[in-house]
Amino acid sequence: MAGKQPLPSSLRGLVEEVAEKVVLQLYAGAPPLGTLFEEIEEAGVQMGDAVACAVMRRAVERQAAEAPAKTCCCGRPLEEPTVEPHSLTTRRGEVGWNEPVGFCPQCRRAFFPSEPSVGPSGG
Amino acid sequence: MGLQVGEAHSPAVLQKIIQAAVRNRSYREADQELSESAELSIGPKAVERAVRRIGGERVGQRDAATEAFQALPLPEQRDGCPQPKAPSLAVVQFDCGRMLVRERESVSTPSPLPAATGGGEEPPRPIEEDACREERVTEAAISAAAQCGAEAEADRWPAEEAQEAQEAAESPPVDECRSRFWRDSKVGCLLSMHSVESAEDPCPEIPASFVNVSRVTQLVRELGSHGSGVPPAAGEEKAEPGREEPRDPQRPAAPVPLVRTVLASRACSTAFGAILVAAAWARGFAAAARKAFVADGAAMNWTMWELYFSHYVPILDFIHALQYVFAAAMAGRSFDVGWEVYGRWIQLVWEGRVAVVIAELRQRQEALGLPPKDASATDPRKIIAVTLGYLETHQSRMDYARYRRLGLPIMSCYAESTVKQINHRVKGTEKFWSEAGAEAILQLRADYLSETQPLTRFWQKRQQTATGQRRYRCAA
Repeated sequence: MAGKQPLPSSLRGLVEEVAEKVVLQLYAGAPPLGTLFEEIEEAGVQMGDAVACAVMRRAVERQAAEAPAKTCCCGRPLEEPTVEPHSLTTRRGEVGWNEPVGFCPQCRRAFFPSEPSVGPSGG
Repeated sequence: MGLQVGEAHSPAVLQKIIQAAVRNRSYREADQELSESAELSIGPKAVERAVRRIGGERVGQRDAATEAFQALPLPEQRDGCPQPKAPSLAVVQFDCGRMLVRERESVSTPSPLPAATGGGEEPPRPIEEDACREERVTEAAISAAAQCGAEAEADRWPAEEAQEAQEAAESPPVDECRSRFWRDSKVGCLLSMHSVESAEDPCPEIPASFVNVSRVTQLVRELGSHGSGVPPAAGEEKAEPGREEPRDPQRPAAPVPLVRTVLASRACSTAFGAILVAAAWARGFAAAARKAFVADGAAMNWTMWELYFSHYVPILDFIHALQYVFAAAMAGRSFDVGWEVYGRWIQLVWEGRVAVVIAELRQRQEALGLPPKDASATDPRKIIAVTLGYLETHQSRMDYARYRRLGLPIMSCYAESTVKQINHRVKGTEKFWSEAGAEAILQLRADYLSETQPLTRFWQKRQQTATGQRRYRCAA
């Protein structure tokens, strides 16, 4: 597990903007007096988790769409890619995304193009 | 992305699952920890499946490394791995643990109970249910258990067998059934150590703890062999129960452990020896200036030494020798007289003068006579005969004064404590394992206890080698 890296300053501003919008949305300005910190913490964590999952989902979807595999390691072209749903339990919750998958009927293999090691050098 | 196809958990979550599974005492506890500390809802069964899968991968890696080592030419095997720097003192310690194992895959009789899953660890269930399940285990599994257990029985004191037989007679039948499923787990420790050689024995006098009544009787009882034969001493009776005796300061010039690698498996001793020697080679042990192999007197240990570690100095664990010497000294004597004899003999053993003890034991045997075939385990003649055989067999591995001069360890305490750490996870009267589940958890628990961080490297490599390919199987 990689250790926690400090957030780049360019993103910190973005986080502040999002946080401001969330607080406005959740509490219409400020939480009413008497709101327990536990409740504020729970809301913050839920929001953070939801943002984290959304970031992960979008990132992997875009990565998968970047470089679809065209040929199998046997050299034959793959069948027209279909989309396969993926679901992963992450530290921040479930992340689901769709990924194109190529299939080689000769080798009876499915290729998930988001993997960097697709092809003869893989694995 | 470094994801295996079909993976349900992200790499970070998978690592947390495995950590929790090997750190806690059960999959259920692991699931609770994940739920409470990491806010992850995984489920005990999913934790078990993850352990089976990752443990299986690690076992595969280990076996591949062993095969690669065996394929090397002999000179390369002897010269040591070129990568890590050879330690000045390389020590291999070996011992056995116990765990309950049963295979249910071969069961053919239909049962209303849940079908055999081949799972790793089964959650505790009422004794009655366990008793029903016992009937479903085939005779083949039972005879395999007997064969497997026989290997480690070689070093067991007859008193222990007698005590177990008595306990079995007094126990309900369920316990008797369960006892058939205890199997050995092999545990090896690879230790790089620091020590200095000296011209003189740095500790010629036996440490006070080995001639302290309370400590020695406690030690003998803890080891579990001769407890029943120990007469109560006056000093011991006065001692408060549960009160720990003050321990001796570190023995002068005792080797200091630096880095420990742990290996554990259900493999037979020959196969485990191959695993151990390959791992020792990978740590550069073959090229170490001083090498020692420390174990108790079980025959399989020394077969393993002959097969794989013959270039290591063989050392019999001093504590096991002490056990035998204590029992023989006490046999047929009052405690006071026996204690005096023990004090003299154990000092001789400490000095490496085992031949003198053997000569005195022969005289004692002559005086008492040889034990008849049906002699009980507590018969003094039998105890003397067994001790005599033990010391004669291991005399060449008991030159303790020389080992101390060479700065070598004389006790297998690191292996003993590692067995306890392994047992903490795998051993329990209600904890039954399948063979595959046992191997997986032993491997991962050993990895967790290793200071060489094998799991860190494993996780990195696992992500790098994710293929992104899924092979489809032909339809039947």
